[in-house]
Amino acid sequence: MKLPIMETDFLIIGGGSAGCIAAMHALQAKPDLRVTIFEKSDIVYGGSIARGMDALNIVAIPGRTDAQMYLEAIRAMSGGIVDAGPSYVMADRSYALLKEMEGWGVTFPKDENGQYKTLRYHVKGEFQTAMDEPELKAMLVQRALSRGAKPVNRVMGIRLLTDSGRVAGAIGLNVRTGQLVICKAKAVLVASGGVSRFTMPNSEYLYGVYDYPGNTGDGFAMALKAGAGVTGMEYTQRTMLIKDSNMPLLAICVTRGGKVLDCNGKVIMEGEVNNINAMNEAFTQGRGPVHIQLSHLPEEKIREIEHILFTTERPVNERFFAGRRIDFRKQDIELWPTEYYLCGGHGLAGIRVNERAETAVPGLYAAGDVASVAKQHLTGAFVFGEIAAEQAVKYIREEPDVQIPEEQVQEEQELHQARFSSKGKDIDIHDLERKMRRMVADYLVSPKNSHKFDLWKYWSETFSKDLEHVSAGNGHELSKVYEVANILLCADCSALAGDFRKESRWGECHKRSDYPERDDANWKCHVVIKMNNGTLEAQKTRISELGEEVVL
Amino acid sequence: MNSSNIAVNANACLACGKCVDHCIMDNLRLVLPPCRQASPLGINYQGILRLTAAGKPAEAAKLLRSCTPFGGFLAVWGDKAASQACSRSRKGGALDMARVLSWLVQREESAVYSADPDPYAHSCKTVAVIGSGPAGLQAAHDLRRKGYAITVYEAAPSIGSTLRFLPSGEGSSPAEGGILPSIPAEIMDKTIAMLLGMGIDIRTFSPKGQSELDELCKTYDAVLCASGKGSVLPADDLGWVRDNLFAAGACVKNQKQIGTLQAMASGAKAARTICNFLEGFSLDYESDQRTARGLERFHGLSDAQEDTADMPAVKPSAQEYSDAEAASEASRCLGCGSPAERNQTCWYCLPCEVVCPTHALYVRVPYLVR
Repeated sequence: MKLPIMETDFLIIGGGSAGCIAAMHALQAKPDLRVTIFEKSDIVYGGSIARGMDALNIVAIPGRTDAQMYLEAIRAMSGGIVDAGPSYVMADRSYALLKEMEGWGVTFPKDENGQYKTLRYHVKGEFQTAMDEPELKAMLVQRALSRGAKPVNRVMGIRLLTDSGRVAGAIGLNVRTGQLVICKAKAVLVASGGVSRFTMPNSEYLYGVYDYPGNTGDGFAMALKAGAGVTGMEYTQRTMLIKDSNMPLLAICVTRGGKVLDCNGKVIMEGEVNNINAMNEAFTQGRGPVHIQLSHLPEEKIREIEHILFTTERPVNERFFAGRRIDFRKQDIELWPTEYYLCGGHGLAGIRVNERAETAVPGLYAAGDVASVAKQHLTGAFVFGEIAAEQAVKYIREEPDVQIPEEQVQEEQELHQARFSSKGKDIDIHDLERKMRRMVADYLVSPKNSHKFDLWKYWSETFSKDLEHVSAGNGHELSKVYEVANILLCADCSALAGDFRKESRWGECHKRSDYPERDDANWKCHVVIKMNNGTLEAQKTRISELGEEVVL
Repeated sequence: MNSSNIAVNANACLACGKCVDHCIMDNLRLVLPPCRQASPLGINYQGILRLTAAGKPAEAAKLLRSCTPFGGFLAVWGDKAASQACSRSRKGGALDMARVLSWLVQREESAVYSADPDPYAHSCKTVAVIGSGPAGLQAAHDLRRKGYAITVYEAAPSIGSTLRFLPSGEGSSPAEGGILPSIPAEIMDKTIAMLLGMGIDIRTFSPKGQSELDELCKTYDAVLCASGKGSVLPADDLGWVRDNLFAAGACVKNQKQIGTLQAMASGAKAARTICNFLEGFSLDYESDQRTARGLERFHGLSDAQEDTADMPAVKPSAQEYSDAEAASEASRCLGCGSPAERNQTCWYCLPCEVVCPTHALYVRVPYLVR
């Protein structure tokens, strides 16, 4: 029998925020379009937001802020390494997005004057707009599916297929049965999140990470192998969050009057931006751990904070604090650095895209945490999900049909067969992951230097070989092998980009002991990585101004 | 030692598997209760009994309907294999499931025979089913639920005649405990009305012989032959014959005589294969339902369940159970099935807890993080 092939028009890999809104908009534009979503988990709650969200971090509300002001803020917050087009377009469309979400029934609280409640999160302008919607993800999914999007649950994307340079579909892996799904599509959107399992969290629990642990750089790896570029991989970031639980809290508290204190009780952040660098500095200088104090706030504010923390984003926060016997009225909240992670939503790492969500591969789009639109947050995931849908619909209408490249399928089937066995294999995937993430922490994060990057090369090769000896007796274990291989490839990109950028920039995110100064003359540019015949290559790419095309 | 991140209240768990289905880290597995494991149609008796015991017959009936379109039949036949597997069979006597089902079907008729349209599924693909016996009707039902347009061709003047008039000694197998009684006309009619209500086109007086298969295969996207013992088709384990032709039930070549419930199970399996074929998956995609749905075998009673005092089955005061008697009998269910943490990948994100219909599941922060 011939190869079983699932045929669709628009394949979306990753049914999170960006993927679901893209499906919804593609079907709004063309109701008879065949839209298929590969989702590694189950689509109802899958993705980084899992359930709800307490704010849209970037909304330019007319009369109060605008896209130009946002561009200035994001430039300052990204060390100048930002393309103007995508960030401008995102801010420009953000208010229409808010209005659209209100149409779904999402609540954006208003103050006594009927104005949206905004909070200051960026260096300038109050772009963060309060939102109260614990069921946001389920609402989105319902809208995408009721319009006819077909979810394929428990399937992760493992390989993009290309037909003479343009995208032709993808291969997915069922994470329970270990079976392959081959999908032919005229356009593909990768929306599969960042790399959350990059180093180990302080709890030493493999999945005790800040960002959704199902995000393992699958999209980065697929895009690279298909010929697209990734960028910002040297932006190895971490944040300061609740000690051990690594759950979100900082922005919610700081923007509502919480003070961050060092160990001497000195205020290092109050009523100002989300200044990670000030906290990192206190930590590295031995003035840590830092604390958030809320006890000075009126009961009403504390209740507001508790309401958000305990109902919306990670409601389990309530259990964590109860377990540690912490009452915000009496005790401060201890903060520690989280694990390092790569993410286009909070940082700069991701697949290179322009303001049309296009990548370097025709027909391939990227949106959300997997795409590099500087610190775009949920706003970016939604706006670029919509943009990708609009572009894909147009592309599908205009471009001829594609063929499935059988040799690429065969290659992937052979790799799959080799990986899917436990016979004679003696490495446990969890051990490999733990060891690899330890080495990433040892060699690839600040303070960085060339010597460390050289040492990483040994481990990269070793882990690569070790992956061949990992036992995968069932589909779940097999999916972990693919995940770890993807994290490893992202780590290699991070090593290459980190070594290539011979300067220090972005505070703790890229601090080199051998090049301690920021060097705008040589390094005010992107470092873009592409794969050439299986080898990663780094290159400098210029930063584009408003009105200029982004170099992909 | 129990280091699991989830705590399950075994007295409330319906073993419905919603938590497993929605876990975004693929962390959970559902340990199947032995009754469901043994039931040829995979009926979730634990859930039905728990809801009955809790005085929620409407929900119990809805659950029964979601497991099978043939709740009315099971109330007549019982589910011998499931009853025999019941852990109670060595502790005070097996649950009288047939009697509970019979009570439920009478009491909640509209839910048991609900046409239950799937709100999301719609497809322009078409499937022809030959035969309106147990395998054919089960497959037609399952495929319709997936959104396909279904036409059933029945040679006889009436729908499901093999079910209406099961000749003694036929249509059953030793596993089903001997001879199954014929289905009373009233139950048959309600079941057929439900299937028609789902939009399945059933045509009587429409014999389709071997010679007409090729023509049907050209007209429809897929064809399922479920015409019973009269014809013979060589199908593989998945029910695939050739190209877009599939077979299920007694017409499959080289198999032992199969009973009515097995024929239904065979129809369900062929329906899954056809669905894979039409959607472009490999034919065996998720054919192992246990792995695909995260189900595991039962490993014996827990200490708490062992401690439950022996208690015999409730005897009905009249011919049928009263509400109180049904609830009382249902409350004897030991609740052998429950979710368990298997992969140690918990992100304590709570969807499992949110989707649990009875609040039986509680997520703890993992010990390393606590």
